[in-house]
Order: sequence, then C-alpha cells, then structure tokens
Amino acid sequence: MNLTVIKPGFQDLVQDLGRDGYTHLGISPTGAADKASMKIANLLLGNNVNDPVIEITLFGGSYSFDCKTTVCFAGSHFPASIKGKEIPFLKPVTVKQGDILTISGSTSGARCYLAIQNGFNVAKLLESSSTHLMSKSGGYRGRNLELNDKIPFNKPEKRQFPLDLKFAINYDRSVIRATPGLQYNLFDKPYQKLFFGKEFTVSHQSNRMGIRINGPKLQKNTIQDIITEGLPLGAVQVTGSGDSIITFVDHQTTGGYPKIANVIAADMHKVGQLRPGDSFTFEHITMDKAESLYQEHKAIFKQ
Amino acid sequence: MKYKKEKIQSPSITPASDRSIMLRFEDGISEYIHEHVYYFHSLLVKKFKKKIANTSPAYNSILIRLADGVSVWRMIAKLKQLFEEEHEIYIEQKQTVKIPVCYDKEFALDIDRVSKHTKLSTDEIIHLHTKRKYLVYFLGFSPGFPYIGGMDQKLETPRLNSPRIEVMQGSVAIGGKQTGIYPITSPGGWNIIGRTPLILFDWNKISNPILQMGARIQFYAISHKEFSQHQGTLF
Repeated sequence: MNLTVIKPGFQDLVQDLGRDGYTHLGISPTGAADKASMKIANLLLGNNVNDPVIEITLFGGSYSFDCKTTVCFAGSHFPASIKGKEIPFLKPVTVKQGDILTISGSTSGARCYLAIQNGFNVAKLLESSSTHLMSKSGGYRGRNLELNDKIPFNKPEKRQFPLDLKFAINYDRSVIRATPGLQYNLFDKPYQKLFFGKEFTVSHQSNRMGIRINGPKLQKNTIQDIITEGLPLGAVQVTGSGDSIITFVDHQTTGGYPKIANVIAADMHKVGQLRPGDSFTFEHITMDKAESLYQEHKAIFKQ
Repeated sequence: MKYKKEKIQSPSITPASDRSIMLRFEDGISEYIHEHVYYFHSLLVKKFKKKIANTSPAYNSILIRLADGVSVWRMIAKLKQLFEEEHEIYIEQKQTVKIPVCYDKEFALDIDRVSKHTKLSTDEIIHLHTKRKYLVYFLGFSPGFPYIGGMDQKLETPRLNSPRIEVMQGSVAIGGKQTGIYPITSPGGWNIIGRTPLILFDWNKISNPILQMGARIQFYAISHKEFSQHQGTLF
C-alpha cells in the first residue's frame, strides 16, 4: 500500500512528533513544525498522535493511492481535491484505489498535515519516523519527497471515526507570545522595549532550522561573546549584526548567540505556520503564565 | 580513574523557557569545570530519566529540555535539592583516540590561509596540530560535532568570512581558537586543513560514539595512499 508522488510540493516531508533524547549528541529532535495540527489530523482518524504524517509546506503537489484508505487534513488551509471535487479539512475523507489527490497553495499559514489511517510506514531511526534533513536521514530517505517516490502506508481496518472532536487551537499569527530569554538582561531596556513593541516580518531565508525575522536591530550591552550553550526550542537568538532568528525544530543543538526571548510552548505551532512576509509582534508573558498556558494547550488534545 | 570528593558550588538554576531549564556552573572554559558538567550530566540523566526529554551539556552549562507534562518550577526545586547534597565526583580517564588525518592539498582547502595568517609553514602547522592531545568538551551544533579544546594558540586563525554551504564529512578544521572535525557533511565556516578517512558519526553506533563528551583525541598525519586504504572505515 503506497502513496505515489505524481508531482511533488514545495517541501513534502514525512514527520512525526520527533526524536527526543539525542541532543547531547548534537542531534536535534526535528518532528512536525506544527505539532498541534499534526496531532489533530491523527486524532480525527482515531490514530495514535505520533503516527507518521506528511507535512506539506507552502504548496502541495499530486499524489495517488494504490489502495482504499482514509486520510485527514489539518493545519493551514490548502485547497485540495480528488477528481475535481474539493475535499474538506478536519474530516476523515475516504480515498479509493487509483484516486489522485491534488493539493495547491496555502490560503493561510505555511503548513498543513496529511494524516492517513494507521500512519505512513517508513523505517524508524532511533524510534522516530521524522526526517532529519541536516544529516539526510530518517523519514523517507532523509529528504523531501520527489517525483515517483512511493511512501508505504499501513493497512486500514474498518473503524468508527471520532466525529465529535473539536480542537480550540488559536492560529492567529499576528501575535506570538514569549518569555524573557536566557540573556534578556544583556539587552538594555530600550532594546527590550523595541523587541516587545515593534513589528517583525518573516524573511524568505527561513527554514525548519530557524525562522529569520526582520525588525528592529538589537544590540547587547557587552562586546563579550557568550560561551556556547544549549539552545531551547523557540529561543530568539540575536546575531552579531542585530538580526533575530527564532530557533526552530531542526535547530542546531548548541549556539553562541545571546537569546533575548523564548516563544512559549503553547504558541510553537504558530511558529510552524509563519510564512515569508508575515508580520507579527511578540507579546511579553511571564514564566508562570507561560506554564499555565502550556497546561491549557496540552488539555486541548485530551478528549 | 580520578576520584574527588568535595562540596561543589551549586550551579545557578533558571528556567530557559517554559519547557527547559539552564544549569550554569562557573563562568569560563576549563577542564575543571568540564569535569563538573560531565559528572552532573551523567547523574541528572540517570536520576531524572523520566522527567527529561533532552539535554545539551556544553562548556560550563547543562540545558535540560523537560519531558511532556513536567513543570519547570517543580523540576527546579528538585534540582536545587540535589545540589544541596555532597557529591563525590568521579572522572573516568578515557584512553586517547588516535585519528588519522590526511593534510594533503586536495583536502586541506584552507591550509594556505592558515599558513599566511599564522606565518607557519604547512609542516609546522601539521606538527603543531598533531602534537597535542585534545579534550572533547561536548557534542553540539550538528550530529556528532565535537567541541574540542586545547589547540596550540599559535594555530589560531579567524573563521572564513562567509561559510561554505557544504563542508565534506571528515574535514578537520580550525575556527578561531578551536579545532574541530565535521562528522557529517554540513555547512561550515572554519578553515579546512585536512580530512580523516574514518566515519566518525554512525546512526547505528549512537550509544557509544568514538567522539563523545570527555574523550581525549590526538591526530596523526597519513599519506594520500593511506587515506584511500582507510576510506569509509567505521571507527
């Protein structure tokens, strides 16, 4: 049972929730860029939340199925159709043998997720099916899907789909909430105010390693470099030239740039939906508030 | 086996994000601090296995990324408690790993640049680079990339003005005060002075990599012919 790529999208990747436990070896966890949407796509099919999905970025391609199964989309809206008939998001959709699914460009954020009943079936690398692009490993051959690739999927069985699930996820990309970062105090008050006040725009040079954002130039109050240390997911690093980068899922595990802020866990899915040209502001959140927001965010998936 | 028993100064323990905690030891880079990082990293991973998703030990710090559902503040309280106790620090002296490097022009793309900057001949560079034993402080950046300390400061050369998009796997390089090896082909901005034919990062041998935190390594020069014979050898 395979999905065959007839026309690849901009960046189609097999992903799951990532590969934890190896950052001390320099291996970033990777996994879906918007884990909330990925979980939703799986849950609506009655899958395990971690079942491998295909992550589609900016625009999709065409894909055929050689066996009847059920799929489900979640995340940003990408018009998708089978035989000219538009298929809905957030609903299980039956595809028949020989059907061709065509996905065009996003009408909202950067990514959508195509889940399939019981998940795609690629060999696991360190217990995960996520693609690790930097080392060209994991997922499907360690790379973006290409023409004629055949991605195996698991056998579907007769199943009642959980149709009454509702997920109250906030996808508003105009405000991203963040706590002060590890080196917040290396930036004087005026720079802190600029950071939490001015608008930032997502650069075209963004990828899964880091989201480069253009906005106010920031300068730390010392010429001394910081000693290289571990990088938390979502850390906003400020480079020597004063530009900001949001540390993202394929990030390098350690780094030497000061971190002015850190996107809160409850908003990381929004970072996965940021696309080049998007403008947004950072909202200052205390650590206590961030923790309670994280608990609320987690509760959304427990139904 | 070195063995010390001492009441160590507790590191500062702060939230790094709402899902991670930073432990910082003394400021600076030294083997003494490294021993603390090494010891406590092993201890934390063992003691809090279920509460920790990931760790990034570095020169003088340990970043802990928490497992799903673990609270930052509750974990900080547990960590503070741990550091109130007295600890015996054991450091295992590891055998030095010898790594062959071919310093031939074919691989040493930037050796002339290093030579120009340091005013040392190629032979002198090779001599100084192979003479010392180095300590792998930690792995970071990319899979298996060692942060190595102890390079002869006569070899110090600034990084390239713009990084290369692709540095070949096995490349041995100098970046500022540090020397390093690229275990996988990746982008990089260091001066490449040679290449090892050995495979230093292997997904199938992840539990015991040859280049690991605390390892001692020493380079030795090999000819182009020897490079070809060794090529692709798993360490």
